[in-house]
Amino acid sequence: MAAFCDLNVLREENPQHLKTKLSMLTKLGYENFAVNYVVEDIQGKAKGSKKSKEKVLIKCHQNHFQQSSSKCQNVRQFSRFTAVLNDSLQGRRLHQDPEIQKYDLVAVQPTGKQFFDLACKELSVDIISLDLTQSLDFHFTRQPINVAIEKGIHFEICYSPLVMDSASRKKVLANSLALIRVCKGKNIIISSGCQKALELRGPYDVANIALLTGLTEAQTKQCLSRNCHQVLMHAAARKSEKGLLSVFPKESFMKGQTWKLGYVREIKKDVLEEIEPNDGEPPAKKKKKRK
Amino acid sequence: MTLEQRGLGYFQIDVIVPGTFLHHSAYFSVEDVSSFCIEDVSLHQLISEEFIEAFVKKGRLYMISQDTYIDQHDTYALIPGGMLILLLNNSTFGELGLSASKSAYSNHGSNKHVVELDLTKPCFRPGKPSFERAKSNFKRCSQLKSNFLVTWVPHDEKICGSSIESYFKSEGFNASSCRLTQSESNDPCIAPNIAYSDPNGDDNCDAFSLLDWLGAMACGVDMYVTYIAQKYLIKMNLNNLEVRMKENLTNKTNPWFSLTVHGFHDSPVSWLNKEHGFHLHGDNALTLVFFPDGCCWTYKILASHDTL
Repeated sequence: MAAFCDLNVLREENPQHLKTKLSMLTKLGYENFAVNYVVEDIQGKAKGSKKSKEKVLIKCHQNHFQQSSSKCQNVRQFSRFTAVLNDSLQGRRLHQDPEIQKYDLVAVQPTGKQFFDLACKELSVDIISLDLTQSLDFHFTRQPINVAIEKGIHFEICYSPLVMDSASRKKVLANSLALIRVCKGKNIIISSGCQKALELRGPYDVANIALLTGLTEAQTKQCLSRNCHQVLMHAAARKSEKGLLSVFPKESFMKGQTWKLGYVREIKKDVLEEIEPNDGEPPAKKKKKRK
Repeated sequence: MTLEQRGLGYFQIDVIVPGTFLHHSAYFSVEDVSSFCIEDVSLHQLISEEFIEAFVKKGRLYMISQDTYIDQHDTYALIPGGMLILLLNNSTFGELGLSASKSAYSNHGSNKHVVELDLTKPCFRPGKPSFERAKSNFKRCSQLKSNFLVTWVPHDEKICGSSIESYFKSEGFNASSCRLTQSESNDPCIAPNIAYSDPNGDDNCDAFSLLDWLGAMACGVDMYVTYIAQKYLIKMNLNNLEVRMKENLTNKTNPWFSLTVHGFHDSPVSWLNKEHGFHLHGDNALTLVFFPDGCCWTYKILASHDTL
């Protein structure tokens, strides 16, 4: 397991309200959270988002969290951009806009079957977040969801409607049961999506609520911790080249491992030989001798 | 025997005594316990030869990482017998590169790894591969550090237990002593009637209802007499307490008394030094109810995934 995350804290115009939410989250035991900026239409409002980017990325001072709770020492804040997909061009704009790609996490909220399939199969996003409080006009099918799971895209369920409102609770439960039945509990994250700090709940309470959606006990905790970390790793990997390099000094090799240095020397020789031809004559002479 | 099976130390002890109970201060002398907290200790400093020879091998050393949550962070503990136990997250385990066994609760969704190092093994000394590998890997992983709660009981009674504190201070660590706090309350309420021979309780209170009642007492609902010694206590002192309380019972001043010890919820080890299973809570407590004729009821309170 890893630290608990809440990857959907809605952005507030008033920074004081946002701070109240974030300090409540740290008090409840969350260590990572993402401030979410939802945009209905990228074309129209993305330009506005550029202007208000500083507002989106409100970084609360570390002391602020420590005052609220001494438990959380490694609090990390991320930024998230959520685009409502109601036009197939939106997806392309999402990829092309460099300002959007600067956000830590990119999510989409498809509004229909074709946009849901598009998000699962073609878009490179981290999170697919459906509005589960409305009755969906399509059924979840296995094929696009399996493609999304293979790509490492996660599906989001927000718990604040479950807590606050009985009418939306029914719909959220029905929709999330349908979603979890198809994806078999894999690649699900649970986040708050709350309007007020009052709607936030502690991670263990959320894990209990999530049992109602058909997840197993182990999966409920993973949805709040491990899966959220996979989202963060997916986002980091999306931005960077794939590869792994470990560097440590030669002295740290122990007696039994010195044979590895031999390989390093051989590789070095090969590299040097490849570089040398640029200097000119010596390799050319060799070739002549061979002839 | 059951007290010996308990893993690490305790952070709270509740004693509930129905009836009048006088001269309590004589029974609860906790001054001889020396527990303290040291800050920012890297694990490679715990496996230095000097430390092992001076403290691990010459006494019972209890160390547990502080402010670390078992289901979120890496947790470390050094238990008597010189076993260093690390319960690591997947990423830390991958970075550390020491051999480990997978968590016993991996089928319950835990992706933790358990690294166990026996510091008292004769082959675990400088120059040997296992020691050098552990030391270099601990040094390389900079995140393997934590605050520790420490208690040391030397085998030699002439040596003072607080000498470990001066050792850490001389090494340049901040050490602050954890003072044991004690509180008592004398709220009048009706204690349940219980009988050792009748645990199902036809006429009297049954065993499970008694545990509920004791829990309510400990939470501060209403109390007869409760002594709470907080922070970090150890087995030796607890056994002393048990003996003293039994003496009081034989004088027939009280019908029974109960002793509850609360273990750390986030300790990496639980009963019999097994791995601690944690799902929604890490309850790890023991309640003993003593009767005047020397009989005793024992309740073991376990976390959601723990087994005996």
